[in-house]
Amino acid sequence: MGLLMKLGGIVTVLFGIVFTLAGAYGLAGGTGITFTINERVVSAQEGGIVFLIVGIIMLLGGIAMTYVARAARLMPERPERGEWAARWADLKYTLHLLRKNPLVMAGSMIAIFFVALSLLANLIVDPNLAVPTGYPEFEHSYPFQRKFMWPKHSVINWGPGVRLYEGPEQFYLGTDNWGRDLLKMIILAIPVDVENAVIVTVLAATFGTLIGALAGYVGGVVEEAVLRITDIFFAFPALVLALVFAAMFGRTLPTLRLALLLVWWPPYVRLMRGQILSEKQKGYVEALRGLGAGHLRILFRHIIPNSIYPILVQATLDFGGVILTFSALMFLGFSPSPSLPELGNLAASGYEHIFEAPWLIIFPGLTMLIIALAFNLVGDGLRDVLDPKLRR
Amino acid sequence: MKIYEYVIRRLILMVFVLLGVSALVFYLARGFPTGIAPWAPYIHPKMTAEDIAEVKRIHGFDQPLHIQYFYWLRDILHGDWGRTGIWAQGRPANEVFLSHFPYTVELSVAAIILTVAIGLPLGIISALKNNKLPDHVSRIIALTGYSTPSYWFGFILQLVFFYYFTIWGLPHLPSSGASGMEGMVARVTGMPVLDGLLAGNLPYTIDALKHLILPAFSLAFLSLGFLARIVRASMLEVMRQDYITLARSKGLKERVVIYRHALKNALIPAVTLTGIFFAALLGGAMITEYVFAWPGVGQLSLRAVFQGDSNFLLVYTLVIAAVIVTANLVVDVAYVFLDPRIKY
Amino acid sequence: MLLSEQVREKNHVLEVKDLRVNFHTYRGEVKALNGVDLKLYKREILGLVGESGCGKSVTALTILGLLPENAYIIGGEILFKGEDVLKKSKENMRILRANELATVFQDPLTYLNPVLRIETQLIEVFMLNKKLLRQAAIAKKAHGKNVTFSDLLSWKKELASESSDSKVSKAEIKKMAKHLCVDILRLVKLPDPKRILRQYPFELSGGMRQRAMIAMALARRPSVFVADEITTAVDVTIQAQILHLMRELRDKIDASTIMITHDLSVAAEIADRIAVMYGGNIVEVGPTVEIFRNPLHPYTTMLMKAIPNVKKPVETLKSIPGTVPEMINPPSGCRFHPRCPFAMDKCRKKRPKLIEAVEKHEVACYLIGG
Repeated sequence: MGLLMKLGGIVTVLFGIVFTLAGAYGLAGGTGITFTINERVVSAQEGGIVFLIVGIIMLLGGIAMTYVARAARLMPERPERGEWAARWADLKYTLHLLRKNPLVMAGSMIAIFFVALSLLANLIVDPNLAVPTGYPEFEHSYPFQRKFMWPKHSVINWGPGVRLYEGPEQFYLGTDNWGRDLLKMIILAIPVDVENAVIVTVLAATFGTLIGALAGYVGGVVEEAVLRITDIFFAFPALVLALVFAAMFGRTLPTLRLALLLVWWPPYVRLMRGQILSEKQKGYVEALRGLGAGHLRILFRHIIPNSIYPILVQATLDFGGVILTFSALMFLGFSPSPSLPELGNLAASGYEHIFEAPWLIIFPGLTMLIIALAFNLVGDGLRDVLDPKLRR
Repeated sequence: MKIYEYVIRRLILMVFVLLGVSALVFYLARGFPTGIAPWAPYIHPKMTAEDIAEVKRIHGFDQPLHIQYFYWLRDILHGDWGRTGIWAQGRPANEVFLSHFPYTVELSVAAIILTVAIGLPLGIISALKNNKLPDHVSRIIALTGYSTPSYWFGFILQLVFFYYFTIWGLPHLPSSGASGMEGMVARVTGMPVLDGLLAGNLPYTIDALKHLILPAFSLAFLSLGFLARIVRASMLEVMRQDYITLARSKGLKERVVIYRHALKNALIPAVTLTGIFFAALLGGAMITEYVFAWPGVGQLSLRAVFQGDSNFLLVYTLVIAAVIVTANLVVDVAYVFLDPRIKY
Repeated sequence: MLLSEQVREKNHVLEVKDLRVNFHTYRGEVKALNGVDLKLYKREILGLVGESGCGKSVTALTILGLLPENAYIIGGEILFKGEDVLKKSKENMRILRANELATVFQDPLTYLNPVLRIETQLIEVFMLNKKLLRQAAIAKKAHGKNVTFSDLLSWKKELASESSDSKVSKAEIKKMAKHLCVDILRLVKLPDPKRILRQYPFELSGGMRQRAMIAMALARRPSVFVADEITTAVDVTIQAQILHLMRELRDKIDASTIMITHDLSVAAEIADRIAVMYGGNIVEVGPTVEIFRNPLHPYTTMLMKAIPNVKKPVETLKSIPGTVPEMINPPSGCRFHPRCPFAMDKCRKKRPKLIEAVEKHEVACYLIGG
């Protein structure tokens, strides 16, 4: 109970930080963003104040929760019985070990921060800003002088007599080749990438795990067939396969996700099968069969929960990998539309002008690096902690 | 069973895997309904309908897919891998591939050397000073390498070492290509550095090396993290073993304990991993080649994918798949020699 | 000197005084050693007997300086030849381990490096003492015949430093070391030593591996020999062989041995004196025959009673009620008091110290005074 409160407190604090920063940004930027809430147009200033207040409340509330949790721990705990109590105790030990590792804690903070950001991004920045000039859906146009700007005085020379943009907006990270504010685009791009990674990782893990479990448990011909198929997939480097699939499937987001999914499920199959094999060697499977348990029950209630840890580790690490590969695909030109706010896509649009407008590549890539690094830190720490030989 | 029996078994298996790979790629490249039309690389806008039909007939694209596959199999057994599209001047696919493959090999070899040279010590230090500062630092370095987008890092390197160095007046490294002095040296192996050494032409070799550093480092940075983590994990496991306690109880110096007793055990998984890495690098260097305009096979394959050139893609994927499977085999065999307990 | 004389003369090689060691774990502080007092005399075999978890191995590891990182020595001294070993630097401890303190461990399969040949693992011990090898090579040159390991055993520890100016090459030193390897394997009764040297540990049988480990310990010509449960992992016949070997070696080498075991019969077979350990303390110590004939501590008494007698038929096996104490929250005072049928109030309060009850026979129990 106390642990949950503490975790909840930490998450609330992080959300609070996001809100506070967003509010401050809205206030300071003078961005001119307007929201429509309930048919009332709200300016960024007002929105910013609200965000700021909400953020501070959440910060304080989260901190309070963690203190309460600490006090609650002093109360004696009820002794619990049963397998779930054992699993819970194991989990608490895991979390304790994780807490001792500063890198993992930092990584998870950052990761949660970005997840929070991806959930809130559409509230912070108006998504309509992403659609640039010339696209038929939108008549909004950006002043010509805003292309490739950072800071106000550096711009790629488009011709004689171009006047620099002197408007009210502040570009903290410069603009891209359409004149869009890069910071806003990055904020909009984060949910695209994160959501993508979540979908692909979860689906690939689930799918791969189930197939691997089936293969390992049933054995025989099924296992051989599955192994050969995954061998074929393994014979490709991930990027090549994803490229080929992407080229063939077409360039919409769902098809790209499918392409990545097809590339990413084989490792789980191998992993799960290995786990199943070693679990089968332990005595309890035979014992359960002797007691009359059905196959499905053994598989789902006993074997899979015991083998779940390496899958979790792999999934967390793969998260970063999927984001990187996805943005690499975008970078190479597979994006559904060139103006889609996505980190790889943003980098691609700056490719030709890399030396004159380096910010276009630096910042999206940096963001990508930080997100992937955060998740990899967590996954790596998890792997350290969950390795049965290194425990205790 | 003996080793050679095992190897033969694996080689036969490899043939099947390659067949599977080729069938998959064949289907994707030529038969997939939403993909690019297989004759697309061979036509240009000025062609008439009859010309297009002629192209289709020459290449056999008017036949059903499995007949095409059969023809393709028959052809490759005669050494004819088909022709590439207009984007590569219609030369035979294998010729295009082979003329660029050495560059990719050179890049991969250099990258592997760097990976091992940096990643191995990083992993060992991490394990020996477990959970202290050097461990955390090398962990961050390793994971950063692992999390960096490949396109981004290449650019940053170019930005700093080429652009800014030039502006600041420092000696700079070239940003693209494999060599600045094309044609000065006879082409023996196709790899600029080796050719330069063989010809005894020092300025050429140095120039080739200068071109090699940045892309090789860019590639290596991404994989050295992975190697370091694996080495660390296996070193940690080894250091906990009982025989390390005995070695220490003998009064051996700690350095001897580590180098003679621990490393030999710990490096086994690292060696196997490096072999697989090498193969993967060969196939996956395409983004780095693209960013650095390195005339290797990877960036060619990118263009092939966009053009829908099935012939070239087939050559490319088959060679890479063969390399990967062979690397797996070599690594498994090497295992036998490294760990005396393993018998097949 | 007779053992009895030694005890009177207080001529001990190793003395452990009030040793306290804790382990820092997730679940809490494990108070493994709670004030261990032990004396080891020259040329004796001391049997350290106790149940699993009572701290026997920890004592051995502390003497050797091989405790893991989460162990803390919070008190006591270990005097080896007059110097406190606990205060020595790691480097000095290493030198001590290379020359004076040798150990043989329990399971030779996990304690031998699986990827190195026996020769590599044995020769590195000899190569630790290049001076000795050099001397041996010189002696061989001088006398014209090869030096055996038994000869080396008789050479005194502090040989004159390189007074001779005859040069000995590295190759000759290596050859000497190799020869000594073969010789020492013969000494531990391993057949066909040359072939064994070329083999890997997993290719040998359990008994042969154990002998190889003993050879590695012997090669240092130690003053103190610690044998940690060396008969536990082998079957009874091999056990007998190894004990026989230990007895033979004891007469040849000038070392004292600490024989750690949980098996009383092994101790009875080979030890001169027995020290009984319980819950991190030594509770009774004395000559073997005396302990068996006249056990004084309640724990020892119950241990003796628990051994089934082959000659007399018995209906039920007697066991000691209760379980081994968990060392995170050990019982206060005398750690045996929860299971002791004679427990008194003062047993709960303060731990009794070892006092000499009968001649040469010490016990830590309030029943016998204190």
